[in-house]
Amino acid sequence: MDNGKTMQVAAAAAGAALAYFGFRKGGVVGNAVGIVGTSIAASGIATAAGMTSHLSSSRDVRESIEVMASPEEAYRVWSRLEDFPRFMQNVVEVRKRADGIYHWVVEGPLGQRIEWDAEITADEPGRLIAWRSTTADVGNRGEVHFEPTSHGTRVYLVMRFDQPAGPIGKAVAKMTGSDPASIARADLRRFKQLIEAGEIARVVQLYEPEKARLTETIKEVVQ
Amino acid sequence: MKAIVYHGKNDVRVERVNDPEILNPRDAIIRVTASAICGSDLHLIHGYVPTMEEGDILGHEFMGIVEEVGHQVTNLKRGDRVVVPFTIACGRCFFCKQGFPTQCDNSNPNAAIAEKMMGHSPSGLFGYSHMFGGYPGGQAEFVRVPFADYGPMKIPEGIPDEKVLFLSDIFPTGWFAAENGNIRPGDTVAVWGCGPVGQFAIASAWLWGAARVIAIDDTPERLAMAAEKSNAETINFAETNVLDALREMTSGRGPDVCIDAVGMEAKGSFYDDVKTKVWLESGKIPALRECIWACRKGGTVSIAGVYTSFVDKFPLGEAFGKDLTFKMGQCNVHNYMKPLLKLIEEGKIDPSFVITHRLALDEAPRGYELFDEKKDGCVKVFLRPGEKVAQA
Repeated sequence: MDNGKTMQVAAAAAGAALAYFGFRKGGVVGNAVGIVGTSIAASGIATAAGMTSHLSSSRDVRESIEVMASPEEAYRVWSRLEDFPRFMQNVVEVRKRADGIYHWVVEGPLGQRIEWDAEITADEPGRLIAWRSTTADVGNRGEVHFEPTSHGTRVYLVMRFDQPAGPIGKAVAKMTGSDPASIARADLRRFKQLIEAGEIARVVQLYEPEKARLTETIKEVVQ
Repeated sequence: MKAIVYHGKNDVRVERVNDPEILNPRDAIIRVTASAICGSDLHLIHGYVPTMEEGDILGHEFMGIVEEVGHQVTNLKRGDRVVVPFTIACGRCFFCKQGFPTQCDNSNPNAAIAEKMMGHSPSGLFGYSHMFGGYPGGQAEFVRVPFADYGPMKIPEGIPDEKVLFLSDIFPTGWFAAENGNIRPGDTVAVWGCGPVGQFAIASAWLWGAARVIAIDDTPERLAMAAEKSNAETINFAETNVLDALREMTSGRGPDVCIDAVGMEAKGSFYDDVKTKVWLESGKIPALRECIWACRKGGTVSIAGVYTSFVDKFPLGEAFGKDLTFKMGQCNVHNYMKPLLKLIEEGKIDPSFVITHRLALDEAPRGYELFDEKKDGCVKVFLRPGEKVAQA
């Protein structure tokens, strides 16, 4: 059994476990977890059985969002690559070097860091920016298009992650493998927030179990 | 600070939590002077709304004094007294500009969850689960209010909190329900549910030009409030068949406008009780079914009660056959705060009429119990976070 198949079987097993505990817990959340678990299990089994094929030599992500701004303004914000960490959740730093090459530092969900250099391959103000990694083993490229719509601008992002090669490539695949389309979609949503609202929606939870005192449940009050 | 914290089904506690801080340039911190428990909070504590987590701070109807503002908030300053709308909206996206701040594109940090469940994400909400952003709510001493340059409304001196607090949600929500009913002069309006939103829908129906307003509930005190405070005719569904009564009262024609101010926990259908118990249905709709059956041909059904997901045995054919119009949704509360404040200032309405209990924040768990079980004639609990509990 190759590594990919092991992962699919593992996903199917994890999905089944999620479904079991979800439905057993019951309630809205429990059932939602159960349904999600069932679908993960089903897709894991289907993929392992070769019924669908997500495996290809590269992975493309295509996502778009509409922003209430002109293509020029959307381009202007996006063209400051150094600001990517403001709205891209995995990007820690993008630094422009003297030679015009951008150095990227990206962090995965488990804290693993990957770095690469990228060059700008196309730059058409108000229309398009494209970039490509120049670091061996970390093959990726991206392009973002700005197209006018009746309400603003369609921001269309295409990213390609090449087939993993070598240990670094594998680490990148692992990082982006969580769900690159969801990450791209979330990043575009934050880009939209930044352009339209001027800030990115944030929440900090205020409850810390060890600090909570004055416990007073409904039941205690009833007595 | 002190806050009302969710710990699971029917378990809310008064606890110490961290004070909120300014996180974004358009934020403000509000010291809460008045807050309330909403009927929709009961859906949360009954477990009808997914994505609630232990430690969530409840409450979305609140007002108070501005303590601190972010550097982009220029319309408010420390010391201003404001009412805060329960929906969080940026004021600049397509939906805010089209008059749908409750559908704001930019205020829900967990939009991906809501998108998976509903297809699209509505705005963030205070204290209303993580799919609506997980924002700490207003049953607390302090609240961080995002987009404070757009949402909060300054209140002139001399109007007490009790009269203006409900501009945050239930008065506009009831008003919106009546507006959505397309009421024309001479119309008969029937309102299912005489909780706080129902009371405001009834009061608003008159202001929209109704000729008759009929209130439907099974709690005598609530029906009495609708009759005494808002001059409604009443039907107690525990004693009377609602459809027969409405047919009789309207000479067979049916009410022109039917407002559902009950929502997904309606009583009276064994079928829905069983299906929701085993989680094959996520809302009970006997009240909504009655609205559809009762409504006159070509009439309007306006839904103000909260529904969160799929329901069963929806009489679509009946609605189709009678040419009914449906309007519904979470109130775009930002749009109504100023005009409704004017009605209050002009003395056309005093929203404090729904308040039956005034409690300190420490007593909020008891408030939940009174409200939930409709004990002691409870219709609306008004909370005073600044006040100490009276020593009995």
